[in-house]
Amino acid sequence: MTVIEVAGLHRSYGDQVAVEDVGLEVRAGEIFGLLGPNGAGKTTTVECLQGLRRRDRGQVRVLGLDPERDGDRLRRRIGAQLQSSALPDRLRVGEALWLFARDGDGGAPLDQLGRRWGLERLWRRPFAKLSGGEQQRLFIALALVNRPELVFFDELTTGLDPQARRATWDLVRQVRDDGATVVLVTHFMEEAELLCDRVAIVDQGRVVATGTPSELIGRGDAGQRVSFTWPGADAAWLSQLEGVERVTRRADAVEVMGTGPLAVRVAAALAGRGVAPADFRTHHPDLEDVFLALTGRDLRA
Amino acid sequence: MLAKLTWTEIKLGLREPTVAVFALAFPLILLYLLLNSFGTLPDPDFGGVSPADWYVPAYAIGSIAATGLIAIPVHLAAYRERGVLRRLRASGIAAWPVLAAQTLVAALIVTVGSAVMVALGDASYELSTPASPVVVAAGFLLATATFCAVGVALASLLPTARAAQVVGLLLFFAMFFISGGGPPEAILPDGVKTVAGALPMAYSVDVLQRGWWTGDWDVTGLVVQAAVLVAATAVAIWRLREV
Ligand SMILES: Nc1ncnc2c1ncn2[C@@H]1O[C@H](COP(=O)(O)OP(=O)(O)O)[C@@H](O)[C@H]1O
Ligand SMILES: [Mg+2]
Repeated sequence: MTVIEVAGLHRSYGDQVAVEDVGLEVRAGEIFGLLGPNGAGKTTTVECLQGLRRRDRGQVRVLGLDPERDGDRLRRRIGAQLQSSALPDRLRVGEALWLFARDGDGGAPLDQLGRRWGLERLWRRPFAKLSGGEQQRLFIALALVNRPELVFFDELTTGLDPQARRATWDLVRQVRDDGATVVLVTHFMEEAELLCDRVAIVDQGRVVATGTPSELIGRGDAGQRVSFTWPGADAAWLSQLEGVERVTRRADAVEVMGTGPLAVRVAAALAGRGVAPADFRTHHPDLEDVFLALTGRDLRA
Repeated sequence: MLAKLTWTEIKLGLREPTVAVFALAFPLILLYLLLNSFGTLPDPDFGGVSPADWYVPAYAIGSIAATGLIAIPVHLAAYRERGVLRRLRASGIAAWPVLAAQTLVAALIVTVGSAVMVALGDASYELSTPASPVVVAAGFLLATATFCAVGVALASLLPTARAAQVVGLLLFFAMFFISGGGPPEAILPDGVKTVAGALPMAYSVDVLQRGWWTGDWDVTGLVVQAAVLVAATAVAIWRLREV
């Protein structure tokens, strides 16, 4: 079942185009990732999906509703943690949960929710006195307080230390396992690869590829890479080999990039010349390599 | 939702009362000083009424203007700037109950402030009873709605709480001293009278004073305020489509 359908979504701020022709399809019960560098248009896209921003054009259906026309009705069925938002400085954790919980929706009792997200110790603490991680836990709890069918997380783990990040990933999986659909916006390749059932790679306001992480990595766009030490390497000769696209040398260290069964070809050619480096290594491409291959740019840039 | 939001705003207001206290105390202290210096006798410069009958309605409007032009814009612009409004809207809490809660709290504050002013005038400065409590109450409510709407519109136009504070204070002082809070209209220079006539506060003061003294409806004052109310609300609705 399709939960979100987007086609030809477009949005600019003045003459700055933020989203230029985004198309997506998110299915019920999955963790769907929007992966791309800063400024790619991810936040604008999910804000349009929640009806928090107006779109310039394009078709958008979320839970069967148009987020612009039926925004309030839609937002009562979804949960959201926004990339940049805050609560009043002196609002306390318990008061925030009480304020955001809709009565009579059969949601979990607040203290139960507080326990689940480790907030009971912070119940009387004002928002301004919470650490980054504690604020994030509160925002997750607020996103889930009304048992939404669909949850948006935007840069959920940015600014968290590695341990808190891992704990947060477990929380996100829990949300999915409880039956909700999750849209996860991130610029961390590792997060998308570990957590998402399917990923859309976004760059400069467009979706450049969609699929499961392993599909994307296995598509073959992502360059294969082998590295080894060869003093006085014959780089020109290496570049002539079939499937090789690029050879870089730094002192004695050689890196060969290309497509197809690259490792086998390079190894065979080296053996044929009597070169047998002890540290011959092949690198498995990850989503970062996929991004580089698709856009010619580095995800971290 | 409105009840929850209003209760929350009251609690937050009590925890951080600075702006509200300013909006309450400033007109009250000035009123006290003025009444002390002008005495209690009816005066032709005050249209033949006592200084208290002139200044208490004017300063009730003054506290409404201070709350609407300073307290609300500062508070709401901070909400907008920091993403509180977006945070609420994303959770299905629309902007209008948030704004309505602010207006209710503002109404509560100015009612308390005005009650103190009336008590002060009544106790020692020969304040008369209003000729028409209905006109006075209606004028008070309309002025509150109008200035709160202007405050919300300001907050929707200004990007930061700091900008809202500067603009709100400037607007308030520019209006306050020439629209009834300073010298009586009779002794203001003509140019200043013209400027005052272009600002909404003088109309709110007129409605309240006429209702207090004679019980008449000041139709011009009502119409001007209603027009400002509608215009400010339209601006706010337009600007708050995205928060
Ligand atoms: N409120 C805004 N006003 C003007 N430009 C904006 C605004 N929000 C985002 N942008 C611009 O739109 C582009 C996309 O931003 P955003 O959607 O936040 O991307 P991402 O979430 O992928 O980092 C960026 O170039 C950004 O500078
Ligand atoms: Mg973003």
